[in-house]
Amino acid sequence: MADSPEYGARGGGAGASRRAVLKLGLGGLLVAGAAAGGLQAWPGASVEPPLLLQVLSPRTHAILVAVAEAVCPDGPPWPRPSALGVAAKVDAVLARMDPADADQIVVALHLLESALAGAILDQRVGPFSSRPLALRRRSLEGWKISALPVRQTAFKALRGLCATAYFADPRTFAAVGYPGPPDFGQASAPDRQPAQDRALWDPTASPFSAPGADAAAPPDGASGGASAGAAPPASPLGSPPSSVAPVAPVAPTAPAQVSP
Amino acid sequence: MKGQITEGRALTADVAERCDVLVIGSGAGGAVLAAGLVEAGLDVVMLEAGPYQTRRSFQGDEGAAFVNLYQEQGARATADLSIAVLQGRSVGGSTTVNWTTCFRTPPRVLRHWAEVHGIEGLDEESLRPHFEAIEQRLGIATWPEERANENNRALLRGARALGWEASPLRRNVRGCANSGLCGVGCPVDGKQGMHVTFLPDAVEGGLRLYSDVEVDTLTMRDGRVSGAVARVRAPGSRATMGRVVQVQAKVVALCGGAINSPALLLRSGLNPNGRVGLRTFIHPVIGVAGVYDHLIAPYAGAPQSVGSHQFIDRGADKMGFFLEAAPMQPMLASTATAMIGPQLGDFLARLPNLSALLSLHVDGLLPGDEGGVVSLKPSGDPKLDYPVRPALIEAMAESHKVLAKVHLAAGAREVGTLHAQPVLLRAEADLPLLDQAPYGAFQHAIFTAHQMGGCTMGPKPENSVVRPDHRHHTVENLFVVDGSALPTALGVNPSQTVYGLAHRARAFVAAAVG
Repeated sequence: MADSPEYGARGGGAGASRRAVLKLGLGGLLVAGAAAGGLQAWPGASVEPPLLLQVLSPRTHAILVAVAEAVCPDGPPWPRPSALGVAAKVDAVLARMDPADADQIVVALHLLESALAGAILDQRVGPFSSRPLALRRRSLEGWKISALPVRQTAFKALRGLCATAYFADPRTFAAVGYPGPPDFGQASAPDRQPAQDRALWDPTASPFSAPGADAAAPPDGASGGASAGAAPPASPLGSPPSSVAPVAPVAPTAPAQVSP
Repeated sequence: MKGQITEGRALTADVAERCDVLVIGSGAGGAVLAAGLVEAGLDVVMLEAGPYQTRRSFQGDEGAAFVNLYQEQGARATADLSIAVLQGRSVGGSTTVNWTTCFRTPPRVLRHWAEVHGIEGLDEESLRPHFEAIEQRLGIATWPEERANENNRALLRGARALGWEASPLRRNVRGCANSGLCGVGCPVDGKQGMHVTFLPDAVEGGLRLYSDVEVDTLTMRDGRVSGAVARVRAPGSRATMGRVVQVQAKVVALCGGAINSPALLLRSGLNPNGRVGLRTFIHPVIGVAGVYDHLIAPYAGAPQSVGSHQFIDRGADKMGFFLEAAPMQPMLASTATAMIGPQLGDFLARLPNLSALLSLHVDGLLPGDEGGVVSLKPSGDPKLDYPVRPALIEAMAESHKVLAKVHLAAGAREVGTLHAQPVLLRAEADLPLLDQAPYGAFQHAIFTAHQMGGCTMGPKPENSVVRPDHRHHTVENLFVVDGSALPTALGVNPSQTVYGLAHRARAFVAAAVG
């Protein structure tokens, strides 16, 4: 039934979308890249890809790893993006996108990598993924302020995908100085309960998240948890007042039904 | 008889439903409407494209929240990616992830609608009872100034030091814990979003709500809408589960929000006058960051509790803007800048001491400001094009200066713009640096968290999509009850306007059932 004509308005599926993007989008990208035929002129960096890629090939995965390293900060205290699986997380995001949009990202990766285009337009030798980190960043900075709108768009997409996958990972929280979200015991709470007065969360009293661990704030959401390590200094303007009564601990219950 | 919420993945066979009213979308418009219709004794089915999530799954995890609770995994944007579009997609729509700021529709905007767009029957007095009902149900009240977080206090302190208006905002909360997590799903149900208020009310009264069920197209018979055909989607995915939900209804109310509602009309071939998708407004947003010596913790506390409308009216030929604050968890903060590498790391490492203030620009009020256009991608998904016009560029140049002044007056040690090449200021004497900076698409970050228009209301079919009572101009039993019906942007956060208009529209939709 899903293929009956009444669904025609929703497009002809991924195949049609991919063809459409080649028609609509690649023209602009080809202008930007000058010569996509040079994609494989030099071998790029070799990276062991994860076992299960949905959209990226091992080749484009390796390019994305090189992009992520250039986009994300490096050196202590920052974890390496490859240690957080940033490229694999981006692959999962691409798999949930409109296939035409995901195709654009893949094309952008190829053009960024293209050694010939890089040599012509950026005076760079060798594919993107083989260049030293500083040169990769210079290439990306060039795309950011490029006179070619398609390069600005590609920069924005690749930067955004890598940065969001990286900074959503709790293993970056310590370097950011972010205590992690407070835990109100909601995972074991009933689906709904009546509204009540609650103490206000005080971020200065919440411990930092241990790398890879969930944030460990007191389950009642009130202040007073033992601070594990360096809590940021208290605000000179003071913390928000906690004049309301602390919330009662939430009793764990059996998982609630979907239907209320 | 009590209704229920059925998740798409629980469906083991195709579903065929019959009802009085089919409501498409469960956000600010759909939820308020559905609750009123069941209260009137009508049989109502609601289809929601996003997942059903409750506070038990709201763990403050930005990565998961954006995938599950936002349109296009939080990556929705204009076609050229120059403007990021934050818009909700789950049971409760954007009300599940908004920052709780509530305003009644400003009287000056209602007058503009009457005078310029010929809309009668929408004025302060006629809307009052609807707003009062909403305020009561959602606990809308002023958030006390003493509870404002440091991020919002920076706006209050800076604006008042400059002699500018700034005041506490009203929020739809009960028992708010100040978690700062409004944007990723309230973990304590303090936020009175649709998922904890009007939707449970409606289900109690008999609403049958299906989540993860995305409408492909409306079905038509003899010039009237007869229902809709929808597919079950896997949660957080584009994959379909192979099941189809087909609904036959006497009346259909389209409540998918701006961008999605016009897209559904276009997919359904319902664009007789070519107006669908036009006049889409987004309150284009720019941000300026301030670094302070003391802890700001922009990730904690009520995200928005102070606003300034000092610059809302800049004269007849200039675009007005208003000022608010933005919550900054690390991932959202990383999207606010175009920095990479060590520069990006330095920016994020300052997050605890960083205040993020916003200017929201009021599009659609100036003559000739037609906003953006929603059309369809080859896949059938919506595509938004939004030209950044000279009036907006002028306003963004001015609002950058205004926000920088606020930060400096509030005691910021350093102020930084979100330009591709950030402009850094340490004192008033540095303000002229902003005159040399470029403004416009790709020159600096631009966002939208408020989407309006695209199925605009008006008395005449030649320049609007629905009538002032939300009824489609040519399809008598089709209504559009969401932010897409707004004829212009508002100059305030739009959620309460949508709640209020939906509350008013209940009588019109119910009467159409006959």
